[in-house]
Amino acid sequence: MAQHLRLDSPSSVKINLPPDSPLTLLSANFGESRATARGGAMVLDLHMQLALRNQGSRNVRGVTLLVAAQEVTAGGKASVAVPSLNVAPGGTVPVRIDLSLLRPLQANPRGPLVEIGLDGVLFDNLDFYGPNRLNSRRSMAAWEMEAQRDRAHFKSVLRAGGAAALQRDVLESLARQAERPRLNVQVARSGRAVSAAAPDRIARFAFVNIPGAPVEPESGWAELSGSEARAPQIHVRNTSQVPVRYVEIGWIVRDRQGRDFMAASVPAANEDLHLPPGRSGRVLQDTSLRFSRGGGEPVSIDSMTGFVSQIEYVDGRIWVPSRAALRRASLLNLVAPSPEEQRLTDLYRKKGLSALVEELEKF
Amino acid sequence: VTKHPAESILALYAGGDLGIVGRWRTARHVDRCERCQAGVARFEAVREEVATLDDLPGIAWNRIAGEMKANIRLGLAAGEIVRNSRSEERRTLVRPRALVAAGCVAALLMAGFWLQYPAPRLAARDRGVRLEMTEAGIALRDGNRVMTLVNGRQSGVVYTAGAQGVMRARFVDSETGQVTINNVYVE
Repeated sequence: MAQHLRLDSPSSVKINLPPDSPLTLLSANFGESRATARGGAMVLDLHMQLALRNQGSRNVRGVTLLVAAQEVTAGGKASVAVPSLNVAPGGTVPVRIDLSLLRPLQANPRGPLVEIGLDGVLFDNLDFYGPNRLNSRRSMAAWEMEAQRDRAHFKSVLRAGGAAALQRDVLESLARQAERPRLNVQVARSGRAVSAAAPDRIARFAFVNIPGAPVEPESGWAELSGSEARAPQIHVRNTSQVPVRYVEIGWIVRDRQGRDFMAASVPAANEDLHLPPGRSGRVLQDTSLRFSRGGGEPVSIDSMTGFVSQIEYVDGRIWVPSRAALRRASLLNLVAPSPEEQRLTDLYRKKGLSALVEELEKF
Repeated sequence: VTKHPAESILALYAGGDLGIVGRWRTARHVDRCERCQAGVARFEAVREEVATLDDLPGIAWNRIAGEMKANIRLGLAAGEIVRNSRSEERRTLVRPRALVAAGCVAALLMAGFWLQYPAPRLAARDRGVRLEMTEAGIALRDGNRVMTLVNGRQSGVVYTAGAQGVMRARFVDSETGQVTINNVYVE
């Protein structure tokens, strides 16, 4: 019989914010969070709401919290990020945590069952605070660049064509989001095949040219076996004048019926890449992905396409494709909307056009 | 200041799963350290208890524990190789050439040993635990057993996968209107 334990005290959930953190804990509601002992493991169902106060002197644009019950294997660690914020000094950042985690039943019985820590805070001038264990600085900076791009797009549509044009554009975006082809994906690391099958073939990537991209893909391939792709690796060349330290490639797979799906992103492993101007390098991941449709029906992969989806220069600046480039490359219908586009279109859906216009006029 | 072994090392030590060098090094510390002796005793107790329990309904915890140990071992192996190569570099500055040569051979053998050691484990894990992303959420899957980590009850959830082993569920919070992104990691 499963035993339940309510997680409602600091002794079971520890919230670690460094003394010099620009965010302080205002309140923590543990809700219906509970731990359930089953067999040799403990399942932690977290349903929490934290309120963090911005004690800094700049507006907060994003926050990432690390939530860990154990950090050794899958299921023990997660993170919660809240991008697309604009919280002024003294304002409050609400963070909802709805996750399940696993831990051994009696690991460190005297310590807390779950620890929540700050991984990073991004400010409106792109300054960053935090240990950045999860590379949240880069993720949040990229989301912020996309947010600036998409806000600028909606604002320019509003300026040029008024509220009616904005409404058309938002409806197009909502339609794209609803119709975006989706796949179920399974991922395993360290080259472990999801199935035991040997690869059928080595498939080469085709590449979509993204105008203005500071890095150009030269060649790439992955092992294919039915609905499974393994160990993608892509050679890229820095065509810009600035050294690059991170590249992320968008990975599109095409099924036998000729339908394209955004499968995953392939980021460079952290230490792998340093690309001076004109030099080539390799983006690779020792990973295995299997694709299926909603009913579990495997998707046979016919071909693969890659495109440059994100760059970090050595000075920390982030490049993301422009909307015009994504549209020209016919990728706008495939890639997920940015968090800001998702937020703005949701605002329109729930509160209407005037609320969206008001929001766009804020900053 | 005494540097205590990490909890993961003590866990492996308690289970007799450390390699020769790691076991010797940890034993040397544990023999002299009451705190770590208590830690080892705790892990031994858990190990005995866990051995008597069935797998978790819905997910095979014992299998995950195997995965956990394999991951730790892999990390230790990599760490050992790095440490060995670094210490070899240091030795070259102070010892005669013969010792350097002997050290390099030893390091090579050690590296070979460590590289070989986890290989069978990796092969055994081919069908092991993995993350799965569906319209219903993000789950930990082990064969036909599934445990949901992130529930997709909210409408309009955008799921994305990263080949580095991260899955993301992104939705607009209905109460705050903010975008929230839940990230789950394979390792």
